[in-house]
Parts: sequence; structure tokens; C-alpha cells
Amino acid sequence: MILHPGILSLLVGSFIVVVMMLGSCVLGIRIIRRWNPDSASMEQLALERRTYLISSVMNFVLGFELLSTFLFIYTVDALRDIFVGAMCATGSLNANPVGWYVLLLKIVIFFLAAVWIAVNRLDQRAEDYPLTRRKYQLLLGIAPFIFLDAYLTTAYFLGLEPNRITSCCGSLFSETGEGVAAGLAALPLLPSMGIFYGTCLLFLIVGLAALRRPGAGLNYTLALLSPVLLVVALASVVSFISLYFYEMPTHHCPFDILQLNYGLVGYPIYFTLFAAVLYGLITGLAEPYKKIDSLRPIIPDLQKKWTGRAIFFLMLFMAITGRPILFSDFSMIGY
Amino acid sequence: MEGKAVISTRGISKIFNPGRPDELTAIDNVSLEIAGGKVTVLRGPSGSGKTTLLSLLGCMSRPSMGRILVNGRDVTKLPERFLTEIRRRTFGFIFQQFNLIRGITVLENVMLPLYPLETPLGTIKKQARRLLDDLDLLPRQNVTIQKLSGGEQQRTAIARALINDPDIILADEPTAHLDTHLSLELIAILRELNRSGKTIVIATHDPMVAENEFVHSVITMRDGAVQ
Amino acid sequence: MKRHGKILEYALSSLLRRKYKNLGLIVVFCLVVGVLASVLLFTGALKREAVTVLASSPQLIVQKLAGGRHDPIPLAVVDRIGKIPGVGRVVPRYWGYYYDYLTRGNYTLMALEGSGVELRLLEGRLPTNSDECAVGAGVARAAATAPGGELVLSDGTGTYTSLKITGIFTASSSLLTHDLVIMTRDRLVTLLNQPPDRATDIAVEVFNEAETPLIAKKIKLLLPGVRPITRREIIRTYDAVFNWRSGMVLTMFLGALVAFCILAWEKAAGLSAEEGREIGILKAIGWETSDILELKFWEGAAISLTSFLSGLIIAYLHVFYGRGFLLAPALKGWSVIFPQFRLIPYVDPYQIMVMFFLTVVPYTACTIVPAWKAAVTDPDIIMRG
Repeated sequence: MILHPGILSLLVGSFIVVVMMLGSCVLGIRIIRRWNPDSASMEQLALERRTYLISSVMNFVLGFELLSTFLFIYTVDALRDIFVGAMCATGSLNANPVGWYVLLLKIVIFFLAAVWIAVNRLDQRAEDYPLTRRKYQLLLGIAPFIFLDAYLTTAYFLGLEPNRITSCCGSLFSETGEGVAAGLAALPLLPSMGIFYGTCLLFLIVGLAALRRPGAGLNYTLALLSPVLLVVALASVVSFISLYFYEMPTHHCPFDILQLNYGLVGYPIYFTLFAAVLYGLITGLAEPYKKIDSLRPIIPDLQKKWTGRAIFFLMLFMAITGRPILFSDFSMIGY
Repeated sequence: MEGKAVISTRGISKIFNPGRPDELTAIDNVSLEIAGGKVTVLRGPSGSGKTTLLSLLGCMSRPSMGRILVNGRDVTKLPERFLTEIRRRTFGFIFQQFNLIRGITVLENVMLPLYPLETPLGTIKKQARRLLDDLDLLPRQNVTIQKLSGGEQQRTAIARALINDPDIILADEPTAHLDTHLSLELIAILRELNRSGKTIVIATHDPMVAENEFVHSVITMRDGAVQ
Repeated sequence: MKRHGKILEYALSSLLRRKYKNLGLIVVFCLVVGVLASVLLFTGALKREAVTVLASSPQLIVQKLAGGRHDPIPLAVVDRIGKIPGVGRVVPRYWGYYYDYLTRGNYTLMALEGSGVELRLLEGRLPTNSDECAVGAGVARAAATAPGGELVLSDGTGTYTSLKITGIFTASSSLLTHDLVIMTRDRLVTLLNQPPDRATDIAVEVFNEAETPLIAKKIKLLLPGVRPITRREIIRTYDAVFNWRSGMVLTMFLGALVAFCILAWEKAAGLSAEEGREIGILKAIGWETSDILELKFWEGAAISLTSFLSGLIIAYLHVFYGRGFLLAPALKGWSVIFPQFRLIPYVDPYQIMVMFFLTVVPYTACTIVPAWKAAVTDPDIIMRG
């Protein structure tokens, strides 16, 4: 095993999170079975108090998963020198393909945890805590992902062999290669831009319409568009957006923009994108809860706030990614 | 508000450590009404349950049985978060031991209840200073609690109880640690507060308070029940 | 936002009122971060030094293997390698290790020809005949000599040779030259009992860096029994060794981390009567459980960030101004002769992230349950007295 400080810190952190989730699951099961909002008994009060503990744990888990995603990317990047052929994080991830699953899983967990926290906030605003059981059932559903993440992270690092020859982003994302990544890199420029800006525009239009005339249809549409936006945006980052930051027609790597020498621009890019997708998602996910009496007066205002934030972050994302496209001397058109 | 019941209880009981050998029924099947704008005294010897009843009335704890209504609203089963919200808005507490925080100043102690709200610090400070001025404590605003006399601590505790402009003031044995002079001072302050429209509920066994003319009604308690 | 600011303010004032209680924890936390950060900063700086130093080493080194071990390489291969397209200069190198019984030091003996050593690194001059040598500062110190003095070496057959020291390498080059002894090729070959038609290895210059692996492959095909080593492979090996070393120290550190976490838990759980009373008062006057949790969060953040930053600063001073004196023995390796070099100060943001994960994250995790326990205090507890 590679005794690298970054790997140790990720494994220590994963272990801590697994232990905390196990504890939360045990408490969650008890809450699901014994929760009775009509009771004023001491047991109900004790359960109510436990919910604060689980909320604190989930906040911690969300924070950890978010930070550990970046730590993971930086660690695999730092490991690149150990592998023949690896020039950046992509190479290290290719050295043991489990790595890509770890990354994907961390992104999924981020969204699941964020959705849970949103549901939790919603639940706590109604006097009868109507979503409590559902919330902890959701928690039990999220836990396996976290356990899987810890397992795969360990498996990834344990399965790394320094002598394995791997390929770097230059070949993974090369236009002449095979596979999804290469396919993304090889997409022609104008259609890619068209799909990207089209999706963004559609999202903005639906969002603005939902603000002016709120309704279930528009909210659900926004929620459905959110994952589409995520996929299209990430594909576009690989396909053409990153090129403008690297000013290199063949450099498609989605990780290098997180590096210091590119001004850490990857952070605002991914942060604004994820925020926009998240807020769009929870706007629609809250819709079915309007059926609940105690939540009906609360949800519409929250949805408005979330839709507004989704629009704001998407516009910020478009501004950040569009800046080099519009204003730099580098141009891909005609390449 | 005047005359109407601001707090009513229907058959409330409070049992500590239920089902255990040290089970204690502190309050037993109490139904009462606290009239708005009036001064009500809960009178009884120590151990009669007056403090427990006061904490139930003030939404500081939940009854084991029965219902409590505050301004007509049933608060019995409200989760702690909402109970705290009601308590913040409606009640001001004066504790037996003042319960001021040592190491911080008079002003900070008075402002503390409003810290978790979104009110800007400047606004809170202004409000606090106004109250301290009304209670002749403004010159002592930056002094830490340890350096205050008994009477000053009492007035600081009163100022803190008033910072959120509550409709109902609850006082638990407020004269227990005071001499006669300070007790009379306290009664005068409470009388003024009542005159300005606030409802006052005092738990006490002190006849100086219970038999004072400013009291509108007395509820006598013994062994957790109302006589 | 205003709410957060006010609770933060109260948290800080609360910590200051109890500074002695928290001082012990901060000191321990600081030490833990300091040790960890020292290890990471030290190995990181060494790695960077190694990479910088290696930048001036040959792109390709060709060694002969016999029985899986390194064997002197025939000079005849020089021309054959030189004929490969893309290859520049091909220079045979002569060097070996020498163990001095008297000083118990390991020296690296190197022939001037092909050594790549430059005059500017020297105080004095390079040897011009086989009775002279130039030595590194570590050798000079070990042998207790100065320029103009003598170095006595044995050739293993009982014959002792005395070489006049004409120059000593400067301190600033010490990472490269500390244990070096430069002499003429003739003298070296005699001392090491090497056959005259063989060299220790061959340094190969490649015009296009990117072609190096290809040329290495060609050399291997051309000359079986020969091992070409690229500069990149050497860097990788160093990287792996440093990672391994620091990883080992860190693994041992994990034990200390666990102990620290237990301490953190105890401190957080051990509410003094005064603290418990304070929280009871806050709950009674209208603070909600989540407000107390936030208060505890800010307290923890203040403690951990203060300790983290202090630990980082201490580590920085220890490694870059104190030369890492506490760690050097564990991390530098087997050589008795340690270069007294100053590491170039450098802090990698990635290292800071790792340190944060190894210290602040476990600390925060350990304080969640105690903070919650404190926060769910009954509001009426102070009335019950």
C-alpha cells in the first residue's frame, strides 16, 4: 500500500464518517419506530433531542464529503509521479479504474446529503415535524452509499500498483481515442456549445417562469432539468470549456482547472454549478410535500427562494465559464 | 388581553422519573387560569410544586399529562423549537437566584436573550440601555456581575426579563434572597410593570408579596395540587 | 448572518473567560499539528530539493547488470550508443562508494571526467593530477582536514594512498557534494580495482526529452544485459521513498492522534459546574438547542483553528529555521554524514489540506456528541436548582 499522507487522511476521515453514520442509523431506526408527535411523553422528548444529534452528524458528513472530494482529487493528482504515463489526476484514476467510481460516488453523496439537509430544514419548520419518519428512512437509504464510498476509496488505494502503466488525460481525453471521455473530447465545438447554452437557457427560462407564476408543473420541470444540466455542464467542461482556460486545443482535463496555476478557477466553476443544480433539484423535490397541511404555507416561499438561488448560481456559472470564451484571445472556432 | 385568560391549564400533571423507584408527582391534576393584565400569586410552602407549575406555565417544560394553552393556543405537544419561540416572544423570567452569567457585564447579560435572533446588535444595545436607564442601572452597564450589590443584580435580572418586551412576567421566589428594603423595591417595580399592562405570575411563600394589595388573585398549593 | 455573528462573539468571550481550561487542549493540539506539519513540510521540502538537484543529472544512465547486480560496463558500448539517432553526448562515468573505518563515514568517490562537477561549486581548485583530490564539506569535517591538508584512503589490499586536498565544495552545494571525493580517473580506477577498459556507468544526453523512454528502449534492445535508467524513474523512486518514510512516521502518529481525540472528547464532555450552569441559563432565557450547538461549534472552531495555525507556524519555524532537528534522524536515512543544508521554505496548499484533514476533522468529530449532550440541557434545570 502506498503510505502517502493524503491517502492516510482520506482513510482516517472515511473511517470516522462510517462510524458516525452507523450511529446515526441506529438512532434513526429507533426514531422511525417510536416517533409519535401526538405524545408529550419523555420518550418523545428524548427522540426529539436525538434528532439534533443526527442533524449535526449529517452537517458534518456533508462538509466532509464535499472537502474530501477535493482532497481525493488532489491526492490522486499528487500520486501521478508514481505511475508511468500519468501526468495528472486522470492518470492516477486510470491506474485503478475503481477511482472513477469513487469520484462519481462522492458527487452523488454530496447531493444526497444536501437534499437530506434541505428536507431536514423543511421538516423542522412545521410544528408537527411531519417529515421525520420519511427523513430517517432517507437517511437509511443514504448510509449504504457512504459505506460503499469508504470501501471503494480503500479498495482504490490498496489496488494501486506503482508499476502499472497508465494513460493520462492526454490520451484519455484525446479526440482520437476510444471511450466516453474521448467521445466527449471529440465532440464538434459548435454543436457542443449549442447544447450547453441551450440547456442553460432552458433552465433559466423555466426558473424565471416558476418565479413569476409558481406551479407544480414548472417546479417539477426544473427538478428534472437539474440532473440534465449537471451532466451537460460537466460534459461541456471536458468538451470545450476547459480548453479556453488552458488555452490548448487538446487539453481537456477537468481536474487541472482546480490547480493553483490556473487560478483555482475550477472551484468557483464547480461550486456554482453544483449549487445551481442542487437548488433546482430541491425546488421540485419539495413539491409533493405541499399536500401536508403544516407544510403547505411554508413551502411556496422556500421554493421561490431556492429557484432564485438556482438562477443566480447558474448565471454566475455561465459568467465564469463564458468569460474566457468571450474575452480571451484564444479561439476554438474554426479549429 | 385584560381579564381574559392568557394561560390555562387542563388537568396537568408532572411526574419526574416515571416508573422508577424515585418517581415523584410534583404536580397533580391542576386546572387553572391566569387572567391577563393581573397579578397572580402561586402560594405554598417549599415542596408544594409552585416552581414546577411556574416552569410549566412558562413553557420551560412539558406536562406528563393534561393540556396547557397560551393565549388560546395548545402548546402541550409542541416540539422544543417552537416552545422556545413562544417562550421568547411571550414570557420574561425572573429567577430565584437571579441566574446572571458571571464574567460578563450588566449590559451583555441583559442583551443575551436576543442574541439568537436576527435583530442587529446595535438595536439590541439601544433597547438594553433604555431598560437599564429605567431601572437606574445605566451607570453600571459595563460592570461585571460579581461587582454588583444584591439590589443591582436583582434589577439586572429584571431588565433581562424585559428585553424581549414580554406580555407575561413569571417570577420564582423573587424575594427569597432579598432583605425587606429590596423586597419592597421589587414589589414596586412589579406593580409598575403590571400597571403598564403586563401579566405577572409570582411563585412565593413570602407573605410580604402574597398578601400585598397589588395582588389580584392567589392560588394556594400543597403537595402538587391546588387547594 | 447577524445571528451567527452574535453567537460567535459570545463563543469567543466564553472561551476567553475560561482560557486556562482550554489552554491545555490548545497546547496539545498545537503540538500534534506541529509534529505532523513538521513531517509533511520536511519531506515535502526534501522532495523538492531532490527534484531540483536531479534536474541537473543525466537524462539517461546506462548500467550493466551481471547476475542481477550492477557490474562495470565495457567502454566499447559508448560508440554504439552514440550512433542511436537522437542521442547527444555519451560520457562514461567512474564512481564508487568508500567506507572509511576511521571516521565511520561513507564517501562517494568520483572521477572528475564525466562527473558533471563544476568549478563554481568549489573553494579552491579541482585536482589536476592523480595525487590530488577535491572533497565535500562533510568529508573535510569527518577527516578533520582543510585545503592543503591530506586525505588518506585505502585500496582494500592494505595499500594506503595519501591525496592532497586542493579544494572543498561550498556549503550551498552540499546536498550534491557533501560526501563527495573528486579525483582523477586513473587514481579512482586504481583505488576501486576497476578494469581499465570499463566504466562504472554511462551518462547519455538525449536531445529531445520526450524521446528518452524510446531511446532507453532502443538501448535495451541493442545491448542485452544492460539497464537504462531515466531521470524520471529516479524521481519516482525518490518520491516513493519520501512518501514511504513520511507515511511511516504518520502511521505512528495515528496513535498520538487517537490519544488526542480522546483528550478532546473528555475536555468537551467535561463541562464544569459553571459551564453547565451557563448553558442552563442560556436555555432558560430563550436560547434554543440549535443555538447552543452553534455556540459549541464556534468554540470548537476557534480552538481548532487557533491550534492549527499555531502548530503550522511552529512547524514552519522548526523545519525551515531550525533545520528540522527533531525529525532529521528519522527521515534522512542511513548516512552518517548529514549535509548541513538549509531547506528552501515552501508550503504546499495540498499539505495544509492534508494536515487539516488529519487534525481538525477528527477533533470536530469527537466534539459533536459532547456538544450535543450539553445543548440538550433542560431549560428548567436551573429552576430546579
